[in-house]
Amino acid sequence: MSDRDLRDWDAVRRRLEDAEKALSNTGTPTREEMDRVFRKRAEELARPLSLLAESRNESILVFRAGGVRFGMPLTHIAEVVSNPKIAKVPGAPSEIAGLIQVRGDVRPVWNLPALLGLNTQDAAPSQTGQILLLRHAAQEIGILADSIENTAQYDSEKIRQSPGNLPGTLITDDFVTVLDVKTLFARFQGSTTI
Amino acid sequence: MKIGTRILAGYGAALIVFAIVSVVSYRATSELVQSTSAAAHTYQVRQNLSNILTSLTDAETGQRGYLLTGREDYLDPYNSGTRTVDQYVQEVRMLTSDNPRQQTRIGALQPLIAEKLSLLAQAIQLRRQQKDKAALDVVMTDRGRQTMMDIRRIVTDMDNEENSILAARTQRANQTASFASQTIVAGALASVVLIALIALLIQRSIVGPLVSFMELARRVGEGDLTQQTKINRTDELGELGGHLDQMVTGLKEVAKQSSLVAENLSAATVEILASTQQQAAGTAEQAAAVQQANATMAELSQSGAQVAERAKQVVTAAEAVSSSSASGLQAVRDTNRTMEGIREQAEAVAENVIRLSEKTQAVGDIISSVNDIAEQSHLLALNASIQAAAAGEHGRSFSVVANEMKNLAAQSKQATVQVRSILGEIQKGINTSVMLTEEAVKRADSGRQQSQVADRTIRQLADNLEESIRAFQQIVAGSGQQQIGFEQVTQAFRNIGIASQETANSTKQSEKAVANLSALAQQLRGLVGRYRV
Repeated sequence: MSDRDLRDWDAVRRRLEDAEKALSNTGTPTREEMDRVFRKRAEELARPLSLLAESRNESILVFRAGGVRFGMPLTHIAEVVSNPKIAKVPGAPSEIAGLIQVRGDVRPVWNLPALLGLNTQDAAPSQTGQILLLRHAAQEIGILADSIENTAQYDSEKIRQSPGNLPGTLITDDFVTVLDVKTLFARFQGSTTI
Repeated sequence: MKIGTRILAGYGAALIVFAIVSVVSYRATSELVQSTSAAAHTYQVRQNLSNILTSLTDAETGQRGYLLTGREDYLDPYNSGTRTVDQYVQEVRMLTSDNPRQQTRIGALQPLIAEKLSLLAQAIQLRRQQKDKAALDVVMTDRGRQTMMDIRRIVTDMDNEENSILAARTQRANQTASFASQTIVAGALASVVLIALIALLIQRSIVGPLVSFMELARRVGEGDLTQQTKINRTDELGELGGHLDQMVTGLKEVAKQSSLVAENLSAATVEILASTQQQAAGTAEQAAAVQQANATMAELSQSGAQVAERAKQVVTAAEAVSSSSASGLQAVRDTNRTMEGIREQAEAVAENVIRLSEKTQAVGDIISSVNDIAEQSHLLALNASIQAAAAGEHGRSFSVVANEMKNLAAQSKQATVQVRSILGEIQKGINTSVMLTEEAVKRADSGRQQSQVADRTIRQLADNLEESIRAFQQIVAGSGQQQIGFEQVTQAFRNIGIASQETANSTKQSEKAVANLSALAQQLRGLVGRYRV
């Protein structure tokens, strides 16, 4: 019995040593790993420009607002601001969530689902989250997003007109509603002037 | 009614009759005495009355003599008569003071006497003055004679009155006396009859039962216990009869019991005889048994020596066991100490594991901040991508780097999630380790308690062993004494042999005694047989 106990203890010690070794090795990437990263980067950079133009791809930012996935072309986005303080404006229409301050400048924030006339599950828009700053015709306007997912590429040939009166198009692959900034601004102007 | 009461009632009646007779006699006698004294009184009154007349006559006689003679010596009767008449009148007044009729008569008598005496004195006075003619005239007036006649009439009335009183008294006394004599005769007759009745009563109520009791006593004396008094009374004799009946019943019971006893005694005598003979036989068997016992004693003595030898061996073995129990005790104490050490170490292990757990928490904090950094990096990469897009074709290579940064940030975030889950597993493992360590501590504790129980048990065992060793040593010592005891027992058996010889002798004497006893029982049965029950 004592022999078996001693043998077990030896195994335990060995396992402990292995664990310790593994712990000390982590933190420094292996050479293969580094080679792989560098190779990938080189391939990306070495891709010819014509290939890029032919693909007619456009980069968009995918985000969620009111339970719906939206896409916004990167060219219309000025900046993403994380968790700013939104000041409410008394007597403002429901399309306007409030005002924010970005490096000394005051910008209005739109409530995107209200603006699009969507039936959102929560009537009151969340007061926290990320804010996309859109740039159009020398105007900067914030859109309140529940979360930012990622950037993505899409083929403009594959875009169709979305059903209903949503001012945008639908990506068939993963159902992202890509918004048209021009239509959006026009709609805002219309809704606020009425 | 009880006999005493009856006798008392009889004598009481006789006494009442006697008392009545006595009272009547006493009253008659006292009446006679009274009438006798009354007669004397009457005679005294009559004597005095006649004395009054005599005195007056004397006084007249003296006056006449003096008138005739003129000589003073003829006046002697006159002097004595005038002198005594008043005295007699006073006496009569006194004696008849209880009779008002006589008193009025006396009242009428006294002036008449005074008048008579004054006439006499007048005549005498005149004669003394030599006036004989005048004196004679005084006599010749006839007043003196008239007065004297009145006096005599009154005295005669008084005398008659007294005589009639005396006659009435005498008649009453005679009546009383005759009543007394009648009563005495009737009382005597009644007494005689009563006493005769009492005597008859006593005879009938006492003597009759006594005779029947006497008859009963005579029969009991002859041995006849079948009789009873057959008297049904409530008085003393009834009680005596009841006691006699009880006595006879008791005697009957005694006789029955005695008869029974005599028969039992006979039977018992027979049994004693039989048992005496058995005893004789038993004594012979006893002698044989004593012989056998002697042989057995010799064997016992031999086996006692063997027991002593065995006991010595046992003592040696027990001493060896005692020394090994001491070393066992030492081992148990070492075990106890080791268990204590195990417990302390297990507690140290638990402490270390808890410290590890705290370290894990610190790692968790670090992971949180890494996560934060990853999110910030992601946002930065995103904005960089946006800027690169804004730069158009010139920002293309920058956009690649920004993409990579974004990917790295995502990977970091994923890594933090993994680390967090691993940390959770580690925490679980730590909890299990702490639980196991606690169990180990408990087991070590129970092991310690068990080793303490073993300690106590071994110590008790050692004590018991020591006691056993002492006991066996006593056995060894005792078997020597046993040998001596066996010899004493052998001697005792010899004495028993002698004693059984003596028992045989005394058994013969017992047989004789039993024969005597049997004869006595026969006699007793004969005695009891006299009584008929």
